[in-house]
Amino acid sequence: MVKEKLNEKMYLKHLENGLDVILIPKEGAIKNYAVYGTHFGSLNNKFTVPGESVVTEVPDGVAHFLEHKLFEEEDGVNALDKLSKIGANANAYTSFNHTAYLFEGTENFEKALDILISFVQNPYLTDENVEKEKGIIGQEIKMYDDDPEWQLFFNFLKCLYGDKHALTIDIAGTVESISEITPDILYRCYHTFYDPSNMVMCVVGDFDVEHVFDFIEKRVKDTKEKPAIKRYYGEIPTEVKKSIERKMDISMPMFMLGFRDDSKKELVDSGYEKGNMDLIHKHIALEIIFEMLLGKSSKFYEELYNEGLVKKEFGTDYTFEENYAYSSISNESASPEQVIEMIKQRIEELKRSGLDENEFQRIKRMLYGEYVYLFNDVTKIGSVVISDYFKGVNSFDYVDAYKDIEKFFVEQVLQEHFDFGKMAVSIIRPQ
Amino acid sequence: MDERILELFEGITLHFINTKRFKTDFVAAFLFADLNREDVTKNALIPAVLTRGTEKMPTMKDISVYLEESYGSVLDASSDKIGDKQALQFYITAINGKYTFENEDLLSKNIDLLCDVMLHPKLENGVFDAEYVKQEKETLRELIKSRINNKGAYANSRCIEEMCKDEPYGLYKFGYEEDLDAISSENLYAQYEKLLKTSEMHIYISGDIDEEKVLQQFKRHFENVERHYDAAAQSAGASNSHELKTVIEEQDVTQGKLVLGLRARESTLLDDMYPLIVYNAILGGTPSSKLFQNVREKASLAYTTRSSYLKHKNIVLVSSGIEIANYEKALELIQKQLEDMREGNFTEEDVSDAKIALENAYRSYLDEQTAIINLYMGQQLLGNVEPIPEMIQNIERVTKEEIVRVAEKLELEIIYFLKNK
Repeated sequence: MVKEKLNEKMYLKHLENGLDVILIPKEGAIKNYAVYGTHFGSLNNKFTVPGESVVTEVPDGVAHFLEHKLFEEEDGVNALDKLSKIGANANAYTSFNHTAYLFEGTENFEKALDILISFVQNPYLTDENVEKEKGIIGQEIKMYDDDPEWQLFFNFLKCLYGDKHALTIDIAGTVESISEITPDILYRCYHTFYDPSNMVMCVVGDFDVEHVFDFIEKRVKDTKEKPAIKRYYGEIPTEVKKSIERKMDISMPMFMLGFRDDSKKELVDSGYEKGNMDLIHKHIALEIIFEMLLGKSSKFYEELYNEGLVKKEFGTDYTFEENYAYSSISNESASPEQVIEMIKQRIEELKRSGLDENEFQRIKRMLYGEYVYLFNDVTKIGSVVISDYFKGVNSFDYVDAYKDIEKFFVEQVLQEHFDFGKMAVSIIRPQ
Repeated sequence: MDERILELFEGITLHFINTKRFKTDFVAAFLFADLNREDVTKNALIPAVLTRGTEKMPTMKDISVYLEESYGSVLDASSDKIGDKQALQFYITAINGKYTFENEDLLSKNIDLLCDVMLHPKLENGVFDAEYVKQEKETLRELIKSRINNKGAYANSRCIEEMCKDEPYGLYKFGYEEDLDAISSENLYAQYEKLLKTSEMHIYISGDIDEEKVLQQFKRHFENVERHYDAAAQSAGASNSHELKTVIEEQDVTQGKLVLGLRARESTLLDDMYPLIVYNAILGGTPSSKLFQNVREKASLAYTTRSSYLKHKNIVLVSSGIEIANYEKALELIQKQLEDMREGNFTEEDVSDAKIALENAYRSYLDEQTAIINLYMGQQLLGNVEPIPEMIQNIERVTKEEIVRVAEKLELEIIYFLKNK
């Protein structure tokens, strides 16, 4: 499959072993960017391995722990070092639904790609190296414990998804949960989730497409494509919890409010080639609504700013992943309750008045322009394409969708999404 | 890529970076002011007031509507501390005309707006709009207070504050709450006029641009600006030798932040710069570095442990997030790494690995529109503008002996620790 947008082309190939490979050649680019990702994140602590009938449960934080450990190599030289030595700047991250290993570099592209594929495909875990990592990850967990924005966000998720859903487990787990992790547990997860049929690779840079497809195909595991892994996420409570508050050593109250979107159904097929345009349209509709509700050009924002109720733009987001979705609005204010009440009134008002045509066209144009920025450099393109892949959408499809989206559809989303019965608020106050 | 530098008026320089590499055109203007206790808060406030409205677009809403119509153009202004200077920064960026629906020339409209923001703010009785000044003072007050929110950045900035107590660089970059009450529309406007008249200015334009057209446009905007630029009035920051001091601060935190501050003695900024850059990479700038390998990977004492070299001050900061109870242990191990650097306990391979990582980072700048501009602006302040290939050659030339020599010059001045109550 080939897609072309904004003078950039995307080539997609589904290999026989089940691996999806996405190549985006960018002529004249100095940097190359490659990312190798697996559909395995903090949500996946309960699953059934293909071919088995039992349900496997693993300690919280396993996906992230494995991310740290995969760099370990049998010859004793960490893969991160190997990449660094040839000028490739490597990294990895774990999200709720995927883990990704990546590098960017200006030279030795094929050598680096070879190392990336090799270390991700060859785990080397021992009692000693697993034990050693617990102290490091323990400090990573504590760093997030002191991060007020992260705490604000997690409390918000807890309101929406209760304590039985895997979404409210901290990505790195807890100091207690990771203490239970052993090489056996990690290997079991590795063999389940790091199968090519559960993975994707994306490369962006100045290269020959056929040659790189061939290079990758020769190096990835020659296995049979496997059926999907059955995943269990836990129960989503019927009611959302209205609010959670806590205190931290900060300067001004922070708040996040948002709406759980229960219309999101589990993605059966990644639908990457089909496009899942309905998901893209909804995402764009909510971006437009947020701008019109409380964006920088709105009368509402101007009033709040002039009254000193907020000091900066609102952060807004619509998150949609494999089987859950929610929107969020965040800011800081000396009077969070008052601002939240005003936002609720503003939503009701916009629902009644509908969207102004001129403003709608202007915001569409703005969002389109902002999207074009993404295509400036290989790192941005690669990282957006990979996280969209795991949502079941293709980043290139946004370009036309920003032009084509219609007002009646956005108004329909406005009426449906903002259900106050599904609204939750998280607040962090200064001590 | 094609680069050209030319002086527009005395002390105002245009830098063209003409390239088809990007889908956007980016314009950044910098005013360099002396960093001092008297002006720091005012200088931090000025960009915020200027972006509130111009003569032609008097409200924030007017500007926002314009930016949205211009395909989400982004206008931003802020101030930063770079060495003993305060840089006031004004940016505007937009997609290039060829990606718009009707091939529109966004760049020239955007340059007009950027110049209006800098030169023709909305005034009231010949000075800044009083309401805007009042509101932006409160916004700045919160920004100053919010320093405690990010514990890692807080610890680093506190360490520098304590280390450079008697120097401009010790000032907090956003200024001080207690200065705000005395700031009025009048005295703020007077400071703004002084900056326009006397500061060194650099304007960078990156993208697929018509240089002649852009040059004429800037000429028109700046020709009536009254200038009394004095190139000699550039300050040089020097500091006396300090006794090692330890500062321990308490907050409600679960992780401790340990920051060590070192400074190169008897060293001029430019002479030792490249050896210090390589030194820093070996000590704590890459995953193969001493800190990453020994403090994190071998001893499991930290997740974050790194060093950074502040080239405008010849300062190296070593920052780690650690278990509070491990303070002594971590400090000892970090000091061991510093000692190893001084004693030359690192290999030629460590040196070449560090060089490879640095050279890769330098080449990458060319692919990032803002990175290259910030790099050039930083070089401008050092009085040493050099293109990337030259920087790479200078890195190549650094020897192990030179690294040991700068390691010996580095003196530990402060140990700062943020811990729980």
